[in-house]
Amino acid sequence: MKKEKITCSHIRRHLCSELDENLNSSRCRAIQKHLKNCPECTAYLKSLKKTIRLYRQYPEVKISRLREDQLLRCLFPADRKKQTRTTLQAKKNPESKTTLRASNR
Amino acid sequence: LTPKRNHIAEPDPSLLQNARDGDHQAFTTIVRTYENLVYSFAFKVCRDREKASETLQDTFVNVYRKLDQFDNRSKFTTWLYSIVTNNCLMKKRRTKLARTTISLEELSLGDDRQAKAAHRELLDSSRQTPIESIMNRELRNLLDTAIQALPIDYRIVFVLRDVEGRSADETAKILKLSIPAVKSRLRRARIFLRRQLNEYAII
Repeated sequence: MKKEKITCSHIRRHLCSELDENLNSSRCRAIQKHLKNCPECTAYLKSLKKTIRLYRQYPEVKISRLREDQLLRCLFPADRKKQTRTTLQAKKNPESKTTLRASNR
Repeated sequence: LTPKRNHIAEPDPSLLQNARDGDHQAFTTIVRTYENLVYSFAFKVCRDREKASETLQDTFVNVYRKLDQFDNRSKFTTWLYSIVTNNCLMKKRRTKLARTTISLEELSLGDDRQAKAAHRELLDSSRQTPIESIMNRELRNLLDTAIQALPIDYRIVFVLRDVEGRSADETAKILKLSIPAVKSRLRRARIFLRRQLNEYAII
């Protein structure tokens, strides 16, 4: 049987598909062999890996407390009003907590 | 390239049940546990903080409404990702930014003025600091521009597989696609992004 000739285009297509897969198949061994003798495909592989690495290194964004509060207020408007009222009452009457603690004794 | 495998903890079944039963505190715990996952994934797809915030809100409103329908047959995070993904897609459709008729091959490469200006800034800044060591604003802008040029269906696959580290199997479940379809989209997305970054002389 005639052995299929591996071209650079085959190699690149395969590299893109199986970049992080197991490299133990016979096709992968043939690719490794090709890479050893082909600086263009090696450079291609390197740039492909760098592309992915750059997107992985992009700093993570995080939600702000304000945004979280807006989200919870949107989900449970009644709860948030109740909580705000309690907070306001506590601010108005800072003694209330102490009074409650004293009455529990 | 080392495969990135992010382990995300699943919520406690009793917490989920309490949230289903209407316990607001339990649902708030779920929101606080997964809000950054949802927000950062939405940002990685749409590359816009405002849109990511809107997607975050839409997602948790959907989760709250549909929690009864979550049957524990799939992972909670898989279900959550699929809701965020649908919201990203709907937002894209609503804002009519989707260039659905343009195929991947037809997309222009590197002719964007904004990208070229950012590229010039990047080259200037790279004389002082190595690109690899610091992710500066200009580089981030170029990465945003490149990925925004990628059609959203491909972008979502790239983000799930290569950035979030989800497996091909999980990505297929999230997007209700076959594994070969996920692999094919990932391959084309990688080729496209490599070409874009190569045009900008980043890689």
